[in-house]
Amino acid sequence: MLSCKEISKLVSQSIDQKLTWRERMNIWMHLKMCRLCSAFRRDVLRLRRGSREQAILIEDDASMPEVKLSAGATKRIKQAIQSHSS
Amino acid sequence: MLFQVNTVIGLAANVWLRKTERPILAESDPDIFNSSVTATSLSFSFHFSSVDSRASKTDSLASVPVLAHFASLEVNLELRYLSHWQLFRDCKVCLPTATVAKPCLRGIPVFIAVRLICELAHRFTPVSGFPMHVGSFSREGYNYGSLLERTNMAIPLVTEGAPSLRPMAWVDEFGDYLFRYAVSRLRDVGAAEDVVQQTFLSGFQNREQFTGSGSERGWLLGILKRKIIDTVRQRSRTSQLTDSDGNDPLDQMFDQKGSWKQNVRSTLLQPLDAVEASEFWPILQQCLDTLPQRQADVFMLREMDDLETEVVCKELAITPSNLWVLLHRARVRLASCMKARWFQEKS
Repeated sequence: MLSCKEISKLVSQSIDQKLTWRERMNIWMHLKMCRLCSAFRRDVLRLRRGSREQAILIEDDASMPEVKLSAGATKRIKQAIQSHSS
Repeated sequence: MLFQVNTVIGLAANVWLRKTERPILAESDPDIFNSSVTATSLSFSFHFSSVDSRASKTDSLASVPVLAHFASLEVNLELRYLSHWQLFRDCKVCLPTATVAKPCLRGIPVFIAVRLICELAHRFTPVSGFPMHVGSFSREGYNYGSLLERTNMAIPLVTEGAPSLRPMAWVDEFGDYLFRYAVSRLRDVGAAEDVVQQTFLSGFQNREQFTGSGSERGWLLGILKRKIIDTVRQRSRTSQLTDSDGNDPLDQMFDQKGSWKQNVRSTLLQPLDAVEASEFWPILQQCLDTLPQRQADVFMLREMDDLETEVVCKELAITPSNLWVLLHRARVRLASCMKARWFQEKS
């Protein structure tokens, strides 16, 4: 019997790579009995979903409108481009 | 040969057009510069440069009638075409007055005229009510329809030319966007400013590699993503020495038998789904800050950037088993931290 610690590690791994048949069987049986590890699995999936959704929002520039380049940085960058273009 | 007008510019024109309810030119009038508004002039400084910069110089000032309150507005248009120097010289002649605009516009290829319109529309995006009609444009057998319907216009090129890039305008236009992206990944304002600067410089130096098939913003974002990974790799090398991975942080969560500790059980059973969507990102950011940098970086590359595990291993020069450990620790701690903060905020 694998412990919750070992199962949670496999659960985490299972969303990144295909596990062996035996490992999947182990997880499946354990989750049937263990509410805590089931909850952990749900959280891991939620973390992934939330992160990817956020990544799309950022790429579409639909997030963090308050974050802006400071005036100083803007000036510095422009000067850098200027000095490279001359 | 087809040339796709920059998507961003097209979209901006689109947005602007939607905002502008009152085109001052009739749909039937193809001449954009022949506006009937009687008011002060708007100065245009056209900067024409060829890619090899031999023929680069700032050329004529042209005026176009506009509403009085735009009188002081100066616009710099940087148009970069390798082989169209001569055409722009023609363009120069045609712009100064509305009366000569018509014949001259006829002399320049339609794609450049359309390009100019797009550029102009783009420049004036923030100014609502600018009296320039950018709607339909047809001439000499070409009918490009309305920019409203075409954000990606396929425009025939007479000869091959380099697509237009405006590096000096990049910082104002894309600086904040790229900075936001970089901050979200690097969680460090200084490092984010650095990669944004590197991105602009690299884009500037490699501008001939821009094919024009996508938007400038997308192209720059591609460069930025590369720079971000480089930064993460560099700091991963240095943090390897300082990150104390000696103590297993999961010991706080599991007892000696490997069962979840009593004090974490109630939090664990609370679903992470309870965190409202609008709060998810702010709380995730706070919690990422509590992780060792390498854990947070690995989590970002895998979960936000959706990089394959093999790629993450290769980029950061770590073994797969090392990656699993880092990812797993990050997930356990993030889930628990996020819920703790959320319920703390709510209560």
